[in-house]
Amino acid sequence: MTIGFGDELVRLLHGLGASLLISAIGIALALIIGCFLGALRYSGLPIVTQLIAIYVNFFRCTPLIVHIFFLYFGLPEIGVKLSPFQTGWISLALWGGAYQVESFRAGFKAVPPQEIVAARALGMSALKSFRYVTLPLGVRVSVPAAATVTLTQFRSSAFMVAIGYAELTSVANKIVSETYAVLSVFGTAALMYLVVCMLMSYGARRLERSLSVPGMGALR
Amino acid sequence: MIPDWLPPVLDYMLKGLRATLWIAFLSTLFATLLGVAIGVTTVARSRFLRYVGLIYVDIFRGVPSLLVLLFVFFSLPQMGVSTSPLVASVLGLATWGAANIAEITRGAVQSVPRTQEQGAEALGMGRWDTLVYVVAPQAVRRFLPPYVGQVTVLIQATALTSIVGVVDVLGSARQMMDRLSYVDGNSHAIAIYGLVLVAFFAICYPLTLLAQWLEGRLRT
Repeated sequence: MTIGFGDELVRLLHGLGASLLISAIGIALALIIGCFLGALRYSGLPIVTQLIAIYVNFFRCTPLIVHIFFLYFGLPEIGVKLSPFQTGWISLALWGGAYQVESFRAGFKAVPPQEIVAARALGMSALKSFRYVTLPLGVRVSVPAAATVTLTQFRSSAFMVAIGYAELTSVANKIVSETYAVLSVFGTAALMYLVVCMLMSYGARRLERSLSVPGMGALR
Repeated sequence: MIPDWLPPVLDYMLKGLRATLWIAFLSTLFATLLGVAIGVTTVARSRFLRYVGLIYVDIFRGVPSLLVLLFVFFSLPQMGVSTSPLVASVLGLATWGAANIAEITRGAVQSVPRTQEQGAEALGMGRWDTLVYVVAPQAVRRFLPPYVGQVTVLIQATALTSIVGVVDVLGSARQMMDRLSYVDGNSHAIAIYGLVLVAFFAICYPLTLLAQWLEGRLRT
């Protein structure tokens, strides 16, 4: 089945733009959540650590699609009405954040204890040694794991089809229901996801290489 | 103490949960068979087989699970195969999950030092015997922990099947909410989505603990 592809392609590209937009916000917020809570979890402060562990385990063990429905259809019950766009980035941020906490915590944990002992011996406080030694080294080690989560978040933006946010998969689904051109439309959408993922992982590998810490790294 | 709307909802959701478990079981089974087979081709001697395997893995790991699911769901009828949404879902999830399991298999096989294979060859073992008796037993240690993690990902992905009309735990919950809001004007969305989240957590959390335990135990 052939279809005039000009118009459809433009619609798909608009969809891709929408996917990129919610993903970008979700990814950025998840990195912030991950770095901050990852540091707190690494610190081992009582209560705070357990609360973060509950957040992480809960979000990692429940499907994103249910979070999306909960935010979009559940919260209005208590008077919180979110638009599909807001639901999209909030759900991606909270869900991705839980995974990023683990990426960053693993990075911080990979910093050799000698470094920290040395920092403390130089008279740095615990906080200062974290700020000037563990944080810069740990973040660099976290790059590969964080990049994997980031890519998954971008692909998961497809789930917003469930609440009618016009991202790439929703648009493709809509065009398919109008034209029945399953292979060409979903194929093009898949190609767009693949290209973005390839570019993102290329960027991540370059970042990883330029930030890798000599003699550390090789994690995962 | 139990509100009267709850028992019929629970009853119906348990049926949905049974469908979820059934889909999860079947997709995990097929994804494992296909994934391990493809994983083995990615480390095959033949360059052709290797490329076929790697291309499969790269394509299906680079696109959203939901897109694969929708593609299978819409393309089967076009190829003249009319099946239930449940079968289409299992096929879609297995095709997608297989790519991830293939990648885990590849990593596990490659983690076995080359010298092991060379030793087996020196003892006169054939390629197949080497794989089965020398490489596989050692690769299993590296395979199992991420594999169990991947199974939880697949279980969570079954929730997506409600989008194509499968009455799984999420689909049944949504139907009950529609019914309740029609009958009493209150959908009890927060409580019912809460139940769905609890159901997934109860299934996936023990599995993540198992993965962690395996990782600790099988570390070489």
